[in-house]
Amino acid sequence: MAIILKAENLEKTYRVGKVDVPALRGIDLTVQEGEFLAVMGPSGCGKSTMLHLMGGLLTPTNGRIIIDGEDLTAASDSRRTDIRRRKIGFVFQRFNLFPTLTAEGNLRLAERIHGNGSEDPDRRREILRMLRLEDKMHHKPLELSGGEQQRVALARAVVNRPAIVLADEPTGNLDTENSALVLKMFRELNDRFNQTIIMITHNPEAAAACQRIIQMRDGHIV
Amino acid sequence: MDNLVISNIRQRPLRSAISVLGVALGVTLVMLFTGLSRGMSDDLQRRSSNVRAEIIFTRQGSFTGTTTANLSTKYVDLLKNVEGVESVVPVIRHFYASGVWGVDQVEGVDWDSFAQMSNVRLVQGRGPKAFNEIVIDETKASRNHPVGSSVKLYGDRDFKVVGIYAPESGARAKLTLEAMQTFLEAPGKCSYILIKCKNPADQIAVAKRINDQLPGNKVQLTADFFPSIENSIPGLAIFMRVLVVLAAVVSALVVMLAMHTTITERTREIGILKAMGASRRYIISEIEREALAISFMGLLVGFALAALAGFGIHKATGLIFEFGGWWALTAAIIGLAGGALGALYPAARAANLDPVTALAYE
Repeated sequence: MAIILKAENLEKTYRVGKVDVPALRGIDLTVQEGEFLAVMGPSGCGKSTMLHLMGGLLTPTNGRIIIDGEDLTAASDSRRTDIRRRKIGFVFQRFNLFPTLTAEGNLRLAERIHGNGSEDPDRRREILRMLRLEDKMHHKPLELSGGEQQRVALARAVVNRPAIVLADEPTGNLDTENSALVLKMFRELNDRFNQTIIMITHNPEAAAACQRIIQMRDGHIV
Repeated sequence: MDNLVISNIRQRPLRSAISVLGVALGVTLVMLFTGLSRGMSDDLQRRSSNVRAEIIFTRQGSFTGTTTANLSTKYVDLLKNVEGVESVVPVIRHFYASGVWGVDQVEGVDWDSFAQMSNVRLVQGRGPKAFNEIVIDETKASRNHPVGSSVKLYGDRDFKVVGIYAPESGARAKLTLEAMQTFLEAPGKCSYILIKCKNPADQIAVAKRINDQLPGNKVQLTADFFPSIENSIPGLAIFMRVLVVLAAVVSALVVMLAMHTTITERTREIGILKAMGASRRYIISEIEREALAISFMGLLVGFALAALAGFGIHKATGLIFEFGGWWALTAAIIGLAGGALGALYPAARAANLDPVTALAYE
């Protein structure tokens, strides 16, 4: 299998006032294409910082990230945005759907941002069918349950065939039943589309659904 | 709903409506002021152009913007004897305090001579004969002044409408020259004398002859005597341009404030857009499209408000409001450009937001 993500000696230090606060202290990580990886660890250990670095939302203080053959850390801000648009899909704990748009509107927005107006209705339909959202397309987020909202967010993340889905505690705001359903969807995406997924979670049951689990502590992978 | 711009506008209807009204205010101001100015100017031009005389003879230094009856009517016979002159009509133009706008005007003429020279005709009634009789044009008559009704001039003095004429020419009300001379205590005087040439093409030569034979007076061509208001009032053009700039500033400020608030409220959504890979250009264009949509609605509302206000002003005061194509285009450009420029700073601010900070925004 090909390497889809490689992080080398990744460091990130935040400047808070006059104090340097290290969040990541040298992370090395390799993720294979089609891998479903869980990242666990206590709050403040650097999980989210690592995810934001991998998604190009932050730049590292030191180190390198290569995604699908492209060096994210050497890229300019606009180039990072371009890589993010083409290769990354985000899923957040708080769903982060656009409240004024319907579920379909949220998906189409992602398609427009990705493809300069070119949309793939077949792919959209396939994703919606798989995530069992076909009858929810004309609902706005506030008209959907938490589980349904997260499934829409998941559909939005994968509709453009990203190389990697980065999920930041996607079941953190869901009850047990919806958590299980969303995790099942993640697994199906991974199985059917060989979708690479890196998922931060505090939930051992969620982590158990993954093929590999890495533990973080104090900015290190342990 | 899958359009972020429209859904955002619909999400906050009150704020959107206020933004639209802000732009509309600027557009209305431009359209109303320029429409009224143009309406009054064109009205004066139209009425002046119906004075068929080619030459106007006045005393040197007299000013036609106020009542001046300082020209002796003895010039009437002298002018008739100048080669190339067909007919002459002495006129007193009198300005008096009246109505909402403070000033109105009435002319004293020999009706038959004036009607023949200016090619106006009575559509109802007859010409004025007695001192308390007037004829009015159709515009004035349409404001509830039929033949037989009375009109107050010079404050409380009642005049009886004995005729209605068309087309409009000069002041909207006319009484006899003798009556006007009596009221102004200016017997044998007039404000100016209208001169009709036998051959209009010779008007310059005739004017020169009059000047040579009757020196010390002012001989003007009618075309120069009745310039447009826009050209004759010093600074009006500058005033209009200042008004346009102010309207643009108002539109830009309103849109900027609205979009600034919008951006602050939607910080988190901008973070999501960034996480989805939206470029700065995309984010700016989304915000600009929203501002342009608001501005476009403001334009439509502004045009409608201006038309309504113009109609209301015309009904209430008789002032004429004219939609000018050029000024409508100008108002459209400043409305849209003001909105686009006003949104530029909030849009740039949004595009430069740090995505992680924006995503964490509560």
